Amino acid sequence: MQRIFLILLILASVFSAQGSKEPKGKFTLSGFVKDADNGEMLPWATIYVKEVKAGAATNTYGFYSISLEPGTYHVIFSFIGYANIEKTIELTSNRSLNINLKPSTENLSEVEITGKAKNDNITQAQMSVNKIDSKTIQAIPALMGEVDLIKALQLLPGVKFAAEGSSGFSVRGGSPDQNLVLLDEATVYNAGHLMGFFSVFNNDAVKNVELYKGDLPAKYGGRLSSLVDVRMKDGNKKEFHGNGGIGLISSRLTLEGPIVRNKGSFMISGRRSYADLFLKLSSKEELKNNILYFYDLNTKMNYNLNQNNHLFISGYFGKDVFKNKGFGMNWGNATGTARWNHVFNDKLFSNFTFIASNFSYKLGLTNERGFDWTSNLTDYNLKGDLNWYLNSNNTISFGFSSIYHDFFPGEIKGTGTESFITEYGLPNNYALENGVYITNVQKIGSLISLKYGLRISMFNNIGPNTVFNYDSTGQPLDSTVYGKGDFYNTYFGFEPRLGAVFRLNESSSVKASYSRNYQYLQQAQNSTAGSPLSIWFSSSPNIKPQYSDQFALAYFRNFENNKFEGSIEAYYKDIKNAIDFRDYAELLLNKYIEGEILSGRAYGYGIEFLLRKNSGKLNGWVSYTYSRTYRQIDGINSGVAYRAPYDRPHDISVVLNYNLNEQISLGLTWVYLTGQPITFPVGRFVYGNTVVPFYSGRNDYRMPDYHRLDLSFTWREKHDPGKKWHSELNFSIYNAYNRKNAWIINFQSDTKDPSVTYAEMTYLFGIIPSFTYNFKF
Amino acid sequence: MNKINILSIISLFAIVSSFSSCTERIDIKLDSDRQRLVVEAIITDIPGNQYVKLTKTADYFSNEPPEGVSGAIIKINTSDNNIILAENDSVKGLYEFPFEYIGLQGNDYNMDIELNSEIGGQTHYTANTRMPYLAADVDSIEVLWNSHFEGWMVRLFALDPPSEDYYMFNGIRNGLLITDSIHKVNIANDKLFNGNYTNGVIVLVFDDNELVPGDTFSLVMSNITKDYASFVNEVQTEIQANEPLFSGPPANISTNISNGAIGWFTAYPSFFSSTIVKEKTEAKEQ
Repeated sequence: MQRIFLILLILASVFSAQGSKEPKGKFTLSGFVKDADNGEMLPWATIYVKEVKAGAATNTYGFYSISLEPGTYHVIFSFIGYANIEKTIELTSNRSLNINLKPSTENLSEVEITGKAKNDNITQAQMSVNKIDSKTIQAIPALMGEVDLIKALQLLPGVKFAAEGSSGFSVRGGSPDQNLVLLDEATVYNAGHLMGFFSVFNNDAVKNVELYKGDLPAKYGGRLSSLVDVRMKDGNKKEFHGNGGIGLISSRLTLEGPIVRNKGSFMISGRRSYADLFLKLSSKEELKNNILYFYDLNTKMNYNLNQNNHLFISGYFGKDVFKNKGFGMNWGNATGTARWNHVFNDKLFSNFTFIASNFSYKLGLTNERGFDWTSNLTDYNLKGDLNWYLNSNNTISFGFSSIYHDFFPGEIKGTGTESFITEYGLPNNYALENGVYITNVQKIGSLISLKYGLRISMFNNIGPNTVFNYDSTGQPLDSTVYGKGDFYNTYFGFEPRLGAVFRLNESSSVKASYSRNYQYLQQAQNSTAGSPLSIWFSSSPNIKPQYSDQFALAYFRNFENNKFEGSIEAYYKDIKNAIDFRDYAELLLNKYIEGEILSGRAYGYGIEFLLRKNSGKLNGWVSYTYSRTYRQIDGINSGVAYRAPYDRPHDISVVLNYNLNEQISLGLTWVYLTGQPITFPVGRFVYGNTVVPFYSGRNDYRMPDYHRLDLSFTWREKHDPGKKWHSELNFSIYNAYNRKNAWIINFQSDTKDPSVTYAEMTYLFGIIPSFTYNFKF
Repeated sequence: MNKINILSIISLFAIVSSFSSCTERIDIKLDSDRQRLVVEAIITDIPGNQYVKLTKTADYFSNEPPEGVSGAIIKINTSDNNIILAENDSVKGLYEFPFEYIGLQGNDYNMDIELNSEIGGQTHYTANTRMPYLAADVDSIEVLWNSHFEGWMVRLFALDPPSEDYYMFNGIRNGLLITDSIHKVNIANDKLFNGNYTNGVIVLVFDDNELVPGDTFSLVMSNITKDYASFVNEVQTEIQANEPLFSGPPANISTNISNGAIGWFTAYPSFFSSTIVKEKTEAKEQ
């Protein structure tokens, strides 16, 4: 570990020494692109040089670097939702230039831009990626008015919710635990509040989110299906501001402002739900005395030591609490990130990060037969990432990541005087997950751009631990004991990540990619919607790491001067050592959990169509996906391939936002999904005076198709520059035409005549209107 | 995990979904599957309590009692004793042991079934099982009212031996079995109190109307095999309502009968312990 760090430092100093003298006769233009109003760094802002008809984009931290021959250039800086800035630059030496872009939110007319700078979706080799900013998320009608990033992601092509209202989602047929969800680079192990109906991301604290569907940048690893990279707001560097809202479910308040003007800023954002207040109004006595709420706290501080050194510290803390007379339960995530951005020189940008992340839950009875059940998982992660802008045709990124995992799968202890539970605990489990990577984005001529890289991952199980050996039915045979600090098991993963783009013309291109990902951690969860009580477990001598190969091909085409972005992507994905669970697997508090796991193959394919409009009065997107996904695992469904739980071939999303004028905007979302695969009974028998079903093959049937329309209406106070306080009212309707979408289908025996059986469906949400009041100052 | 604790967790989810969820019956068209033989075969250590029932599977929505299978020859063999069962004259498909026949702890039993016509393409089926030993040392039981759950709890005071044990609990009220269906019995393993005193662990719960203060209540505690415990758990899982937050995918329950038949051949010894149901005043429970 230390050695890797040292090598990187040496490499960095080599590059930094080279950086300034390497380009023969070329000079570098570099700097940061920021929001003029609040000083936030703008990632993915575009820099376009008219004379050479080429450009670059800022990285996640708003940094850019371009190498050019000496000369005079017209450079356009642009970012969606911001007014362009065009600069005439005379480049006679290396030059640092920071740009402040002004937001164009107030200007609702169709913004006419020089277009060419905005076609980076066409020109970049990266594919299978979607980016959404918090403004777009804000405009989408939300369940009970709770604006939700995860629900917005679920509307993108190739992304489906795991179950209605769930914060779990499936990307290109993968399981929810195959998504790497990062909040300021810290892993969020459970993204749901209140059984997953709301996600842990408070949109007021979020700057933007990127979703990579399988084709992960080499910088990231450890999950097969996707990366959700959520970035918190940095906080306003210029003025003190606040915003917040009052909704049916929760209230929010965010404060941000400079610590030292233009140098450093802070942001703090809190949210608390008050669902339990509604329970008090309930007529049911057993509901009245319940306490049920969740809260979130996001904080961030950043400070520019000087032009070349920026420090960031951010944290998240969230919890769900449930209590009634005798029973209590809580669970939550906590993450902390410390980051140091260092610009070695105009060509070498670096970011070093230390991250801690924790997920835990606890539940128990408080009476004399009481018990406490606890489980938690902690990660410590050190990362170094460097971008080396070698020349105008090559941008090299390299770095390392090292994660120490400490799993505490669960323990149950009697606490009451009459407790019968003695104590039952599962031992801690330790592991180290390392990765190093290098990747290059290379332009060849004006038409071709390549992205090629390699990530090498290494996973170690570390003692002390007792590893059981199992027979073919999952029964433990014997065990091996490993001492403290023993690296008793190691896996390596070679993960090539390749991509290419071929530009057909200014407005269209063809792209292809191949990527291999390894995953060493998975969730013990075999229900569809997912509960917070699941645990994560790692690869081990019994469980081989899962790995996937994804091949993808795409056609990108922009229309009407880049006002419309269109794309068609097709993919094929093959996962080896894919896991599933034995029938009737016992996943909680089970010492022999590894015996409940079976592995085999998962595979799927699909084609995704997307048409998106990002600017103008009417914006939003329409997407259609056709996809299939299967698993074939010996020991499940007699070894015959079966539909994965997320196999829902047709998926349509329509997301529209119409800004009628400065004050009124309307939102509409419509989704359609083929019914979820399900196993139905095909017969019955009687045993012990009880009617028992027997079943079709796994997932042979489907639930009825799912569709739903959501609407929203937002009224904003007329803009008055003299006034500091701005407010808006949002009224939204979830499931506007009251579709009864099946959440569960159960087969029951009649209570009066048990020989009569019938099917019963449960649906979760009928039509749900809600309103929210938002303000900012 | 004790069922009652699970229940309180589920109650949380019930509260959450009670905000707006609704249930309604729907029509679903289901395919038919090939017919199979169903075997329910039980040997206990109580005279007159052993039988084998043979029935057929039916379409899921057939809504009729199962059809018994007559005319089979059923042999039960142990190392020193072979018998052939006699079919009951009035109940089709019910085969009875001689009244004085009882199972012995530690004995292995083999069953051989020969049908007079094919079901599911087969006429010959076999199964075998072993009767476990009675393990726990029972002190006493207690039936208490629990105002929190609005029901009766049956609590057991016993010493569990160090071995891995599986228990089945039945309840008898004034001489009548009230856990008269397999979904009403309780199955427990000793994971949470292995080798220890059970200290009043709740082994059965009953609704308010199922017991009355003054009743004589008897707990039947049986030692069953691990496989039979799984089988009963599976049956109970499959007839419970499915719940997306917790339930795994439905699956066909296991069987120890050969040749594609469904059901289980089990043998278990039982221990009886009785008490009088107390008045509903129970101060200790909040």
